[in-house]
Parts: sequence; structure tokens; C-alpha cells
Amino acid sequence: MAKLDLLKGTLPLLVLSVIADEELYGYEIAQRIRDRSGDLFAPSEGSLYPTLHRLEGAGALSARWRASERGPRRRYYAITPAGQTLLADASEEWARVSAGVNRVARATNGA
Amino acid sequence: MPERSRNDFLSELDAVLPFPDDRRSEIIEEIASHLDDAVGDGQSESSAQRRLGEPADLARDLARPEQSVWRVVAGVGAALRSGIGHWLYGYLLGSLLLLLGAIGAAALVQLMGALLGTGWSLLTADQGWNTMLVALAGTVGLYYAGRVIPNRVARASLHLERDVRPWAVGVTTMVALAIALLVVDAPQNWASVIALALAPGAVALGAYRPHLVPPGLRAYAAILVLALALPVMILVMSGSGTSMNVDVADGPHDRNLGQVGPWWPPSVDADGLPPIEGGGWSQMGNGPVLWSAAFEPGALAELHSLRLEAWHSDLATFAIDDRFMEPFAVAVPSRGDGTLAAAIDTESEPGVGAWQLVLTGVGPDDVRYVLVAGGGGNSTFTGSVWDWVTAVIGY
Repeated sequence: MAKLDLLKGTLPLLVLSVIADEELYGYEIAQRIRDRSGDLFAPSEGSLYPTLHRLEGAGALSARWRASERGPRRRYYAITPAGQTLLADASEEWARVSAGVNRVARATNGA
Repeated sequence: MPERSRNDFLSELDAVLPFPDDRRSEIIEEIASHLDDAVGDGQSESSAQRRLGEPADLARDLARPEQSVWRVVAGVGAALRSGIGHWLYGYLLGSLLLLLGAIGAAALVQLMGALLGTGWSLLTADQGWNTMLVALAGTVGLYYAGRVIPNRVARASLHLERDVRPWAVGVTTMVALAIALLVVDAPQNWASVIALALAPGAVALGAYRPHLVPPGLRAYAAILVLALALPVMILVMSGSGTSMNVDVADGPHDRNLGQVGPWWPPSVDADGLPPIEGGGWSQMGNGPVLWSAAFEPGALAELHSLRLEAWHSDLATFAIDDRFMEPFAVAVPSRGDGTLAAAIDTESEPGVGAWQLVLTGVGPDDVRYVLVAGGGGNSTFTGSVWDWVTAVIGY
């Protein structure tokens, strides 16, 4: 499976991260990202759903409909083994990138 | 973003999503439940919609990961299949309506002719009118093809219909234009040329105005066609009616041959007939007219530069048309053993209906004389629109 290009956007990594522990539906995923980032990231839902469908098409997520206690049924997404691998790779790449960015930024600030 | 109701938002999204029905309805349901959650969480409807973006942008982003070159190839295949099928349907429908229109117009004109005592009739040589009617039926076919092609391309290639429409219409129109202008080889007149040149425009009409005919008017389509066809039919009728009023000429000397030149004096014998027999002509399909005649030995001794000339003439009498000072086609005959023969093309000149063949030759005084009237016939310019236009420009 191709690695995520984190320079183009971190949304797939954020989605895989929040979904890694439990099944969530679209609105919940957006809320969870917002909450975990301390309101730093508030992904546009216009980008979220295409990302979810792209990850599902790539085999990183599976989806199923579940009835809700109130309101309409919802489409829940769960991470697949391929998604776990992708998440691990993406997290590692992100760590390298962010460390590199931090080093460059610190060197710039210290100059 | 303009304020929309949720139904409008979801309907718009449903209309632009380039997916099969089941997939589309799943996405719509998912987005609807998202909006429910957002509004239930305290967001306003417009704010929740705004965060999703424009339906077209959302649909584009959802489809993009699944687009590929092969999908585009599938789109072209779908366009060909559905385009040809719908063109055929429209062509047959158009032919039927035109047939009804023609029958109705003919009946009306005959009736008017009988009531007014004018003898009006729609009887006419083809002269490209059939090609015009076929082009009109083809135009209906192209309209129907234009209605479906962008949709089929979009669905098969997973692009938005609004994104592919200009390309689909442009390519289809160019293909139709090439066929109409360069490939269709048929009898032509000005009406058929205009009809063929304008026909490809029906693709864009179908694509951008798919509901051109309101449902309430469809029941009256035959009447509409009759009303549209009537002026053309009357035009044809008036043309043929004028011709029919001309007195039929009596004998070769009355065919207005003076327009061509003086008779060759020695060629007229005591009975007033030339020593060159009129001969005859034949034609195979759309090939040249093959003319031949027998002549008496010595009859042409004083003449040179013989040529067979084709002159515009009247459709009913074959008398040479006064308006033309030159023949529209010329061929040099070959001399055999007591015979003259020539092949002359009568179908490469726009506007020719009837023609008269005249054999001429230059006498000792350098005057071109008429030697014999070689017979008359009628034909129509045959070729493509491009052939017609280039012939007119070089006229």
C-alpha cells in the first residue's frame, strides 16, 4: 500500500489515529479530531468524507451501517489491518518529518 | 453560499454525484445523517452545509480518487454506444414526423391547387431536397444523442456531468461536423447544404436544452413539423409550378440554341435537319454522361475545336436558360470511325437541375457554331457539402 504523503495533508493520519481504537461515524470522527487537538484542528467535513471514502477504497477502513438509538442510522468506520500498517508507517513518517521541521525551526530561532 | 433547505442541498448533491444509484443513495444518507448530527449538536443548518462545501465540490472530491484513464476510455465507449442508439431513435422519429409533415403539406398544396385552379403540385425532381429531409431527420437524431452523451460519459468516467459536458459536446459536434461536411456524399442544393452544416449544432442544443419541447407540446409535434415544413414545400411548389407553365418546345431548333451560337450553315440539309445525328447519352449511377453520335463523312471537314457543351436548361422543356451565357461543363469529343463520343460531368455544378447537350465547333471564320443538339436530361450536384462550397467559390 502506498505511504501517505504527509506534506500534502495530515487528515488521513488524523482520521486513522482517532479511529484506531473504536468504530466511529463521520461526525464523531470530526469531533474527536477537534477534541484531541484541543480545538487546534477542525477538519472541514467537505474534506473529511472524501478522505474516509478514499481510505475505505484503499482498504485501510471498513464501513458498515448501524442503527442509532435516536435519529437515522449511521455509517461507522473501523480500521483494518492494512489501515493499522498504514497508520504505523504514517505515524513514523510524521515523527521524522516533525522532528526535522523542529530541528530546522530551532536552528532558525537560535541563529 | 446561498441559503438552501436540506432537501435542496441533498438533491443537488444527488444530481451531481457520478456514481451508480445504490452508491449515490448511501452517500446521500450518510451526509443527511451528518447534517442531523451537526444541527442536533447546535450548529445552524446553513453552517453545517457550509462546512461540507458546495455539493458539486463535495461530489468532485468524492469521485476524484476513483478516476483513471481507463475510466475515461469507458466513458468514450459509453458515449459511443448510447450516442449511436439515441441518434438512431431520434433519426427514425424525425423521419416519421417529416414524412407526416410532407404528406400533410402535399395534401394541403394539392387541395389549394384544386380549389384555386392553379394546378399547384409538390412534384419536383429531387435536386437535393431528399438530402435536406434526411439532414433534418439526422438533426433530430443528433439532438437526442446530445441529450444523453454528457451524462453517459460522466457516469462511466466518474466525473461530474457539468465538467465533461463542454468536452463531450465539443468532440461530438466536431465528429458530426466532419461527417456532415466531408463524408455525406449525396445530391445537394442550397437547402441541403445549410441543413447539413447546421445539423451538428443540435448536439449542443440537446446537451444544454434537453427539455426543449415541453411535454404538453409533444402531442402536437406532427402539427409543428407540418407548420415548419410548409414554407419549404411551398417554395418547392412555386418553383416547379413556374416551370410547368412554360410552353413545351417543338423540335430541336426551338430549344433556344441561338443562345449558344449560330448554326453551322452546311450542316442543315434540305429537310432542315443536320447531317450529324443527334445521338444519345447514357449514365451509370453518378458517373459522367456518356454521349455519342454518328456523322456523315466530310460533314466536319471544315470545323475544328469540337466540343460537347452542357448548358443549363428548363426542367420542363429543356430549352436553354437565357440567364446563362456559358455552358457549365465542356468535354472534347473523340472521333471514331464515323462516330463522335464524349464523357461529360453534369453533377459537379451546383444549382444545375436540367441540362441540354450541344455539340459545337469552330468554323473557317473562327466563329463557334452549333452543330447539333445532343439531348437533354436532369441531374443534381452530387458530393459533400465541402465539394459544394468549393464548387460555388470557384463558380
